[in-house]
Amino acid sequence: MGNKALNMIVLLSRTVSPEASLVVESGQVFVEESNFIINPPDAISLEEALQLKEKYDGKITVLMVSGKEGEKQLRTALAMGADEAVLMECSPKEDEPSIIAKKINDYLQSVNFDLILAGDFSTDGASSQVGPRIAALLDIPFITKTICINQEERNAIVKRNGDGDIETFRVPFPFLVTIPQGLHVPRLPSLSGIMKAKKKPLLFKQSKEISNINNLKQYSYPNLKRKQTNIQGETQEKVVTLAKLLKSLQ
Amino acid sequence: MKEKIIILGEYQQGNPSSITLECITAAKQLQREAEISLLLMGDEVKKDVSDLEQYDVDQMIIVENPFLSRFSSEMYSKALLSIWNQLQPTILLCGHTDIGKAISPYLSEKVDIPLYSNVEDFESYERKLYFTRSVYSGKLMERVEVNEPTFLVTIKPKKWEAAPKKVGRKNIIRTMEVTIEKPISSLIGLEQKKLDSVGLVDAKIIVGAGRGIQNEEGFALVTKLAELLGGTVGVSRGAVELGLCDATLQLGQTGKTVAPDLYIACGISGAIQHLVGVTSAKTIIAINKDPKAPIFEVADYGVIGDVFDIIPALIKELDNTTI
Repeated sequence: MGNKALNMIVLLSRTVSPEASLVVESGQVFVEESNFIINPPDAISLEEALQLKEKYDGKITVLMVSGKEGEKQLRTALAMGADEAVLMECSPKEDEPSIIAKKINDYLQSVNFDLILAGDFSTDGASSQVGPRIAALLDIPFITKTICINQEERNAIVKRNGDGDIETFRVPFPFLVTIPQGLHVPRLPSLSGIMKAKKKPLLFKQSKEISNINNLKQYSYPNLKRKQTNIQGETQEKVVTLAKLLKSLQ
Repeated sequence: MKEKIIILGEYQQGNPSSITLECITAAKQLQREAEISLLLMGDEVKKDVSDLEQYDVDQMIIVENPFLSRFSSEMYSKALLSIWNQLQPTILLCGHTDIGKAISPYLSEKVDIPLYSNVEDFESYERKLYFTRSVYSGKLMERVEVNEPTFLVTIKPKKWEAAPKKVGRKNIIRTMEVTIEKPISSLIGLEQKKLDSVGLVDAKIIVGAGRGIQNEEGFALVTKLAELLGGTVGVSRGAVELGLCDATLQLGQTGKTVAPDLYIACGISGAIQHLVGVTSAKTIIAINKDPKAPIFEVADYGVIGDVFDIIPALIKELDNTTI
């Protein structure tokens, strides 16, 4: 039996660029729209999907739950090589992982797919919840920290980065994976990719509002400062002081 | 009825992992009038884990099943769901580790109970509970009001002290059965990783390597220094991007969180994404040739200088003084 062309869904979110500075006023965060990017861990999982498509052929749909502004990041994903994009609109209040997962699930109920790829976490919320939640809602297997996907007799052979060893699983389609940090450096959109992206389908979907008891959240800057003693002198003097310090600490 | 807190335990080489002992401390800090149970799942837990009676909890819950011999998200999620349904606890507490991260969202969705992830501080104020977490790449702290009496929570490693053993204690050991259907996914292979990153999280001394170590030669120097001090090497993203080592050694928001007694940052500029993984270190020493590097602001001791000058001289000095 040959390999199957893979119908892939890549979950994207938009986050604030790690380089951007954040303004906190009265405990709330203010971010300029221009500072939003594709969540970097999600860009890595998109890169994995693009490489799988190059190897096995297939289709990549990028799916995002956000306000209309998310179109910009979806266009970037299309320019990187995704085939189509879906934006599930949500209100700014609907930002909890459980709500996002339910909205994604709503959409996935009506489409076919072999594989869902998600980033390990979002650099903003850092809760790592959405991927496993969707697997729970869809009742499909999920494998976290996936580092390699191959096919064998129409099953997937998935390697994951366990804490001690590299583990290999055989798993039937469909299933969900989360991709760890550092697996790939995501490609940049090419000029021709940007041109093509303009003609690729981008669907806006409405979804019913999910009521949410919003827990009150306050933001502040972390305090990281320490005593900052500067060890001075010529190289040798510094080294002698440092060696003494190391002995005293042990 | 008395509330129940369940701690999802993890263990390695016969002992609970440090994160599990940290969960015990955190559970006590919640100050509920609750019975605290430590849950251990595995194939032969009673044979594998020593001193089961001596952990500072009210009872141990042991779940043994051949399908649980090794962590798999599918099996562990299903087992945990079965245990939740049988015991109906008030709170489930686990580490924000590979295991906790994978199965707590699954459980949260299945039982429709809220999950607070990667929490690093609990606070009670005017009878209200607040959780603090690091967000926006470590640039901000988020303080959330917890309204629900029943919840799941994963805690960030190394933020609570590990609970000591209570010698002479006699815990109730309760054995529970779970029925697990044959898994859909099956483990068909294991291979050892090239670089051993297992000890990194619990290391007492870590020498950090960043972009400033530049090449294989620099990495060898850092490794030598770590060996000499009886420590191990951790890296920033810069070193991973230089291709000098595997991402499993990475410290920071996208890597591991550590709390060694001593962290020596070599050629690390101190991007916030890296710092959030190491700021729990007791003492931080920074070596960097750029006097303006932000790492110096968060260091106890700073040495301005080229790592290629300082580290070889330091190795020599340490060698001389030991003999």
